[in-house]
Amino acid sequence: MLSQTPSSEHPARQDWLNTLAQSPEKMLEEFYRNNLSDQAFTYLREPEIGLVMVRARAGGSGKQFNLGEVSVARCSVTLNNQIVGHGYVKGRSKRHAELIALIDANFQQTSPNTEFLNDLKSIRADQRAKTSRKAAATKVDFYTMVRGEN
Amino acid sequence: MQDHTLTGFKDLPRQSNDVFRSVLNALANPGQISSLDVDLPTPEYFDTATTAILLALADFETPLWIAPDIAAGNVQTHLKFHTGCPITENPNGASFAIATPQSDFTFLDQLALGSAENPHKSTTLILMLKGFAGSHPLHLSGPGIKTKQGISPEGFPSELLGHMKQNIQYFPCGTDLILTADRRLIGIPRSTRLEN
Repeated sequence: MLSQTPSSEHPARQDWLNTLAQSPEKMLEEFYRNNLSDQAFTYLREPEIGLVMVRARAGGSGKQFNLGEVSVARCSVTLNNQIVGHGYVKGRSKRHAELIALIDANFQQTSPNTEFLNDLKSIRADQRAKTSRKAAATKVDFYTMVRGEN
Repeated sequence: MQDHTLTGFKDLPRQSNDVFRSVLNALANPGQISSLDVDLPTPEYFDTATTAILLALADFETPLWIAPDIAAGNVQTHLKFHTGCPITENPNGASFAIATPQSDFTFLDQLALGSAENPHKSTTLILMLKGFAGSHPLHLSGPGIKTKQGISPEGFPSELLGHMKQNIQYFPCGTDLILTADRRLIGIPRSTRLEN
């Protein structure tokens, strides 16, 4: 089916799709309402929810196994039948996927709004740092007690 | 080459079920014309019925073979986007083969017929015609037909007629045939005897 290695053709688009998919729906909704609400579009694929099998390797190098399924919402829109915007996002929010697709299409037609993307990125980075700090604070070291010889 | 993707079904679950039902009816009543109540944008060279059938029935497990004369347009992008079906170069590995009377019919020998254990693993051939008001009537008989049923496909290729006459001998294996024109279709399953 789809290739698993990211294409190097559109690194900028990959970057913004990545950022949009990891950003809170509320911020995208706000951006959409303020900037793109009069953009005409048709659905190529109406928003829908499905499951994606996440595959993993133990330690990143072991044998590949199925970790589990995750809900994904997706949507594709087109502007004047030429530019196609896609939105894929983890979770069950159809609106979220739709917003990503609409913003993706707009960024392709005009140019990506770097200011907005940077805002999203910094929020994401803050959140990550916060989660990491929380996790680090509760870190437990496991070690094996050396037992005496019987 | 046109490369943009078109929209698919407006109401995906309902419309794909309707199309599935129509194909089922068409194959249960060989020779009877069914009409699809769908309105779809169609890729280049493709008619509404064939597009609808493929959107409803094709998925990632049903490789598609498209005759070279109609494969050039935006059909591949369109079907891959909506169904995720693989497009194959090899008719033998295809679940569906799509052709028109203008196609080169040497591929007929390569269609999968299925095996005694897996008779369903055969290729279903979809032939896109201009209409069903041709001047050379064909007569159908067999399961699903009370006495006799006549059809008049426009430009039915003689190679295909030969193939279908042979086809009946392979039962339960063999090719299922679907004829389409605009938004209408006729089913000719492998159990049907075809004569001119």
